[in-house]
Amino acid sequence: MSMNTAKLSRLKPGQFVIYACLAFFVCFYGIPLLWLGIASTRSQQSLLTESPFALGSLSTFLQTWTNISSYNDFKLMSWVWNSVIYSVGGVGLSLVAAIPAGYVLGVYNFPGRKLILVLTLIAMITPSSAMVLPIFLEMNLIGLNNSYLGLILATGFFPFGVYLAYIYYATSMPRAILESAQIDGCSRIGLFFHIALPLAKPIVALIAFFSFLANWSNYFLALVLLSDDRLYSLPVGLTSLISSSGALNSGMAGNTIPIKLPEAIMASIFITLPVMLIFLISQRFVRSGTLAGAEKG
Amino acid sequence: MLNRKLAGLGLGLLAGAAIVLSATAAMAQDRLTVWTDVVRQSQIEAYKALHPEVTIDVQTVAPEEVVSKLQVLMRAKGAIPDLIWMADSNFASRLSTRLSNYLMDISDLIPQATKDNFYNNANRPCTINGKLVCLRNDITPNVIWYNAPLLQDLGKTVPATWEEFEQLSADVAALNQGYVMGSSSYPYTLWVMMMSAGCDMAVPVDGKEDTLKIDLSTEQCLRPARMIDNMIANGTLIPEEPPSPAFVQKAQANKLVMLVAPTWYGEFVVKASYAFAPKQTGIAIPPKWADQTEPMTWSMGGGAWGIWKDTQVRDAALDMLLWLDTSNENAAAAVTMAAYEPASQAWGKGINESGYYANEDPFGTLVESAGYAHPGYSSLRISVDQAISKTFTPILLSGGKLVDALPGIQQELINQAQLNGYTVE
Amino acid sequence: MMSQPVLLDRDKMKRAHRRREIFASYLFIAPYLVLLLMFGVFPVCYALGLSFTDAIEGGFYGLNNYASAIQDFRVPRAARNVGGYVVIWVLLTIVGVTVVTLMLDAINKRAANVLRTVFFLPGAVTSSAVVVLWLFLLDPTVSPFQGLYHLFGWENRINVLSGVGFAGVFAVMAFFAHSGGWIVVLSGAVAGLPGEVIEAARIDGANRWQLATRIKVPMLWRTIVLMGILAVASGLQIFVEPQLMSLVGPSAAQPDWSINQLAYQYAFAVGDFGVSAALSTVVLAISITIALLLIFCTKFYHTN
Repeated sequence: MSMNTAKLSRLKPGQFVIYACLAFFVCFYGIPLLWLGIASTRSQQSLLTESPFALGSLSTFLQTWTNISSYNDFKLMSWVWNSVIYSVGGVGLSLVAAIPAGYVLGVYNFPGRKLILVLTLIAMITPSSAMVLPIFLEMNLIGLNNSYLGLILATGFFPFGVYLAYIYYATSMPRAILESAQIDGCSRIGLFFHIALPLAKPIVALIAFFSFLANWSNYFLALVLLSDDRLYSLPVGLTSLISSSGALNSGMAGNTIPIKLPEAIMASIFITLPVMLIFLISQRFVRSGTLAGAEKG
Repeated sequence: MLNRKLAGLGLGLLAGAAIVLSATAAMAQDRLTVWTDVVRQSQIEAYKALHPEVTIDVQTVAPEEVVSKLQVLMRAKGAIPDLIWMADSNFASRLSTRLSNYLMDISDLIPQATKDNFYNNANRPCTINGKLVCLRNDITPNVIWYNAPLLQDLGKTVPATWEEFEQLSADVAALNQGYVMGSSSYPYTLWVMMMSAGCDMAVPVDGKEDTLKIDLSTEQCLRPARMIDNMIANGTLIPEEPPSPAFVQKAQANKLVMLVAPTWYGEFVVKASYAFAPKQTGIAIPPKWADQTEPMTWSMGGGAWGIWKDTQVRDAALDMLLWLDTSNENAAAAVTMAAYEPASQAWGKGINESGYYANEDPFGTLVESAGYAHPGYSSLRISVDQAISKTFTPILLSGGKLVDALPGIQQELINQAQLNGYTVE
Repeated sequence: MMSQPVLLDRDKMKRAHRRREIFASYLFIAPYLVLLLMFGVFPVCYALGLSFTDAIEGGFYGLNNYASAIQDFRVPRAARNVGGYVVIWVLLTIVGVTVVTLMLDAINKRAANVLRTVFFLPGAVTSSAVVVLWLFLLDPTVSPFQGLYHLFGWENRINVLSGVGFAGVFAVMAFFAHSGGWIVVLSGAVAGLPGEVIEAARIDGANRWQLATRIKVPMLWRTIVLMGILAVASGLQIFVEPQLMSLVGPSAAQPDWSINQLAYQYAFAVGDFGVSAALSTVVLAISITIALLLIFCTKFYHTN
């Protein structure tokens, strides 16, 4: 006890530096988010002329909400639903593809395994906008562009998920269980369904989390693959709306669309909030899961 | 009796057949795909209601994504639209190259009388190497927007020449009240002033295909540049852009004396952002240089509709294009000033009757300035505004002068032009 | 006489078993393999093919596309920009993330967890929301950070942009969005460090500073290096941040700031997919080289 207090008093200046630094980072990360939340209650005039942290009013907030929800039959809501479909579909497909692939890559040895792993890692490290055009041409060829299925297929390719599943099975699959089951004549398919899959719960959560994040915010691929605005995802639809109305650049805004700065801010919250909620809900999973991945790295 | 019955039956059959035939013909012919932005969606719906015989597939595309989406579709031979909205005047030339050849040459499809009814030079941005490839929807010549009560308080009048404009800026600057007359970093403001004296800042050469004249060393360029430098030095041109919060705060604090800006600034910037009170906003024709007989006014924006060169429904697309660009019913509901003179009247009536502006006949002033539209305002595959801001902004921030930045801007323009396949003179 | 056929049989059975095993493995991996071929291998090969193709005639074009790309006056400028950005962004990530992680390790566990979540949240701000946010953050008249800007004497947006420099601004934007995730990952690695070693050092009288710099950092170097290499690979691909600047206003627009933006312009504004593919291929080749170095130096694919 006495040693502890001695240590504490010795560390005081150090501790002060630590707290000061962390306080700085809390401001750096937190203030913009706080501002975004408050800004949705403010009017266009207030945003342009009042102090950054001026509070708006409930009536302004409701007016902004009315502008968004009444504009164009609340098309924004159909984009939200589309985004949910794309994200859930993409997450589902990436799980169906990644879990068995990660299992086989992590547990068995077979010809071509190393090649597949290296390709997966390359794909994971080098995402590129150069891929978008070839993917579009390919989808066009098989008639899947401008459809739900096309975008879901393209986002179902999630090499990072395979990598996570591979690391997980390679490091935490109890080998003894595997071997004894094999001796018992359990087939690979049986092994997978009886042992590997039930064990996969944390990794499923982790892959779903990262895949959802990637799909929800996917912009470029969705932009190129979708041309019908009824099929737009939220990021594509919102960008199109904001750029048409000139909400962010009133120097170019010769129109009467009721989408101005407050509406753009509220719509941004539409995009941001679901991800934040998922962050908060799944943070425990993510923390424990990334841990497994990081140890390996 | 029997004869008449038979005749009646025959007629009935014929009529039935005709209905069936025309119905199938309509189905086979008139299926149009139209790309628009969100703003003009209601106009397409209005046309749809008037023409139930045409099936129209409307898709809203963000203005700046039109060209990129077309590139991809043309490459893949996918569902290419028949009629498109081009918000940016540069799209017409971007979509008329060997690599991306989308637009139809409609020079011979539009009656001469229709062409003549457009405002002066309004279709210059739709004329690429002598061919008309689109029809302008709205025009945006620059005018002077001034704070009428403030000008009166200062005991000043609206300048008729740029020399008077510069003198006015010196006078209000001497009062040390932080009065503002424009932006020093906003490339469009600088561009407008530079072009007023006839500076050859990337202007197409008539009769020579893909040829631009770029020469910033002439007196026509140096004269406006010196004026800009003086106004930056006296503080009436400020580094904030007109739509930016800082500029808005200045305007609301009654510090904005006047601004040279396009036709739609009144409704969408002065009224909406600067929140000028009714009768506070005055409109005047743009200044001329003392030795000019009349002003030359540059534009900023204004879109156009264009047709796909390989469309299967040319006549239907053309009909729709003409309705969108030249019909009274559409122009009256439009939010900006139509490029087609007869159609713009209905919109002008609304402006005049609103009672918002300080002038008796604000629309008359807009029409007059449209008559002075610069003949060099055309569609280019290079971006002059970016060349200006990229070269000049760093110089401005380090306290330099526009006059000294001109050679750099010229070099940037020449580089861009050559890269995009232009011959430079 | 009898034993030989049996042996053969067993051999055959073994081989048959092995074949069945391989077959089963491929059955499991098939869905992913199809996706990998469709959206990984094919697009890269296609882009590579395009880079040797004439964009107008469609025939073989040799290295002409690469030649046009090199002759473009914007390419050296963009390469310098990207180089500068990568240096700032990687240093910021390595130093920032490591320092914050070690500091979090030094404070109360509960508080650290809360802070980690706060640091992680900005990653949720994506696509157009990023533009909306930074439009305000960078403007001293309305930014919540206006006090800081005024300290430097920056009074308007272009002052900020030129004061920090575009590379710096983009690095800060990327750091704001992505560093939280890395802090969580690195915290995971810190928690995985063997407790005995740290305890021993503590008993030997090492203070927290010494503990962090002499014990923890050397033990974490693998994760830190991995983070640095991934940051380089993603930094080379910078596209979104400069592209968004045009929405902020024409005096800040940077449409040809990075190599990937030039590739985008060639394809989607000019329609020259050949030069575009050539530029992308070069960036991709650099990234893949880095990826391969990473993969083979760290033996990522090893199962223990």
